[in-house]
Amino acid sequence: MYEQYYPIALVFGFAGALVTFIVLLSTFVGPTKVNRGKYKTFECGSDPVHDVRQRFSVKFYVVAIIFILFDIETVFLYPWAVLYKEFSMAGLAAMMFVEMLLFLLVLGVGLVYVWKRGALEWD
Amino acid sequence: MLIKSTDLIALLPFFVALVAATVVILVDVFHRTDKPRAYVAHIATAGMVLTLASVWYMHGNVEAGPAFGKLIYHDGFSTFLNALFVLAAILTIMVSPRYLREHGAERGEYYALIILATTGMMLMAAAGDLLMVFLGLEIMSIAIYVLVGFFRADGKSAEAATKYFFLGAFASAIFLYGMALIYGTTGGTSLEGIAAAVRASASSGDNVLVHMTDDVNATSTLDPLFYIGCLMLLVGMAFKVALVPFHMWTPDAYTGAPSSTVGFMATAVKAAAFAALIRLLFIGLGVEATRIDSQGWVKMLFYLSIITIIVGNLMAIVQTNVKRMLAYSSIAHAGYATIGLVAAGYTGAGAGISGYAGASSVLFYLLTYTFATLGAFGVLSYLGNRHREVTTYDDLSGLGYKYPAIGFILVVFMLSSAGIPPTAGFVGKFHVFRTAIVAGEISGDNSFIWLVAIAFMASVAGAYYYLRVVVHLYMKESNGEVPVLRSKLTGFALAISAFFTLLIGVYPTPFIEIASDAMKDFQGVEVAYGPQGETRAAGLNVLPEEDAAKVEANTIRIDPIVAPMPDQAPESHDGHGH
Repeated sequence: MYEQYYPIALVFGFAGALVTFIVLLSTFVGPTKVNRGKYKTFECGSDPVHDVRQRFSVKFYVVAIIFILFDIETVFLYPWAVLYKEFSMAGLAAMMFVEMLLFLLVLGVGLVYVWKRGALEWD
Repeated sequence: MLIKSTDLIALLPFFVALVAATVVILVDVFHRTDKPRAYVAHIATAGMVLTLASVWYMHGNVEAGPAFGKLIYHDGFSTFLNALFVLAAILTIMVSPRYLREHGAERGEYYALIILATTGMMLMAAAGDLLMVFLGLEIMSIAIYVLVGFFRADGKSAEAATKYFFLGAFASAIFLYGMALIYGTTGGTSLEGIAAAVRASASSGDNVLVHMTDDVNATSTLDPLFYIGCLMLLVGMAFKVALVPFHMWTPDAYTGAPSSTVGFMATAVKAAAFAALIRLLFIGLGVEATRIDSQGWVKMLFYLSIITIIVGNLMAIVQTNVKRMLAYSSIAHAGYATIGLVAAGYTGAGAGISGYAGASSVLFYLLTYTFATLGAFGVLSYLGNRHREVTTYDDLSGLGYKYPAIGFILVVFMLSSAGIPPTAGFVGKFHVFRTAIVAGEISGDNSFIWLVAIAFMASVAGAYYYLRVVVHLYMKESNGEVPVLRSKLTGFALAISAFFTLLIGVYPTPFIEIASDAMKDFQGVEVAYGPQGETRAAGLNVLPEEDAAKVEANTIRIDPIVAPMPDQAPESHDGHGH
């Protein structure tokens, strides 16, 4: 009765095996030159443990806001894509398509706006 | 709910406004910095004029009725208010360019935000569903928060925006919580669905919305949570309207914000909140059980309007800053308009007697108030420049002789705000007070006489601070040079406002008729004064049998989220179904 879950188990198994393999490979094969930078938080910019009053650049917020904007685009695109078939069976395909195009157009205008205003430039 | 393509026509004004906002923002962002950018304002104005034209087109050519499964309505009510919002936006845009340039904040976003806020307001006035009300509210509010803080370099503007944003976000959260409670107890977010659920529970006596209670004498059969939800919705809207316990942000936000924005905030935002309130109260909560009951909203608004009028007027008297005075005066005006709501609620929205007259008196009051207040703030933005701001009464001294035209226009606005004939304000107040007295007569409730008496005395007290402006303009020595911005466009907008203020004052009949026509096809819930469920007036929108049955089937259970829909078709995405 659990047959339909086999592919998921397979994916989990494969993913686990692959990660283990890559990590082991880099541990054994890769060069190990330790320095201070290597022990810091990976990639994310700010220390996880520090004084509360530490300041960091407002630019991060701009990036975060723009990210949320386009993240929401994806959130809306998924259910639309999933339901599209049902809509087209109800004879609403054209309308739903145009509606999504309009939505993307509005977002596109937003992108043009932030681009031209220079919000995407770090300096 | 399946969307019909005929529904799309109901979105025409929204589309035009959105396209206008998009065009404005694109034009501005591609603009070369070394050229004058006054034309951005002209494009924005043209866009709003087109929106007005589309509202007019819809009025003549599209049949009134709900669209998108009653998510929005297109009717006389929405048409009237859409026109009002767009007019306010046009006047605001015309007043702004010279003022913004003077203060070094001439950016196209300003106009795009005004248009987007207007779109949100139009959605609020058209909403037939709590979710749509909230959506409109947020579209409007977020744009207004930014507009309040538009002078980024000015600390006062930033302070005003911060205060307004935090309190506003809090009010939105309360409103949203109220929505959740009402959805939990009635099983729907559609205003008509809520009304049907309440009516069903009141008439069946099954206590369908009730937690079990031992009190056999309980006047209401409704779940207390439902009342808490109603209360929260009212609080959320009272914040936007600035009724008194929820008015604290008003003086600070109005004082710090750019004058041209404040005019828009004080008029269009309030009108939008009143529009949503009227829809909410007379469709969703229009059933007698939620209205006249001891816990009903009419009593609450009754007391709110009394405190609002008294506090607004008394606080305005002691102000020395004209902008602050106008802020408190706008609070008082919200109180006067609320009297109309109370009167309408008492006589019954659908009773056909004077319920709609009450609501239309609110609409008419908003119209008169819009011209006068928008104009008054317009004059404040016109006077002074970046070096010499005109904020206090003393700054106004002697200006009536130096700038006769602008002095005269300001006097007209002040007289209208005070309610002195022959200006629009007088007719507006008269109309609202008269409606309240008629409501008192019909219901035999003497408290209406007291309400009007208090409002009348308060407005006499209010004449003091309005006339103080006139006294300073003409009877005080001028102190120092006060420059003006000298903009033909601004002057033209102010002249239009003054013209309409006088015109409505002298010849109000057509405008009163427009306001009462606006309520003619309002799709309120029928109010049963006779046997429950009886339809009082023909032509009112009553839920079809199967819809009412659906709502009833849903609301029998305390927990509607798990309530199965016996007859629900698989493709139905109806809000009641979950």
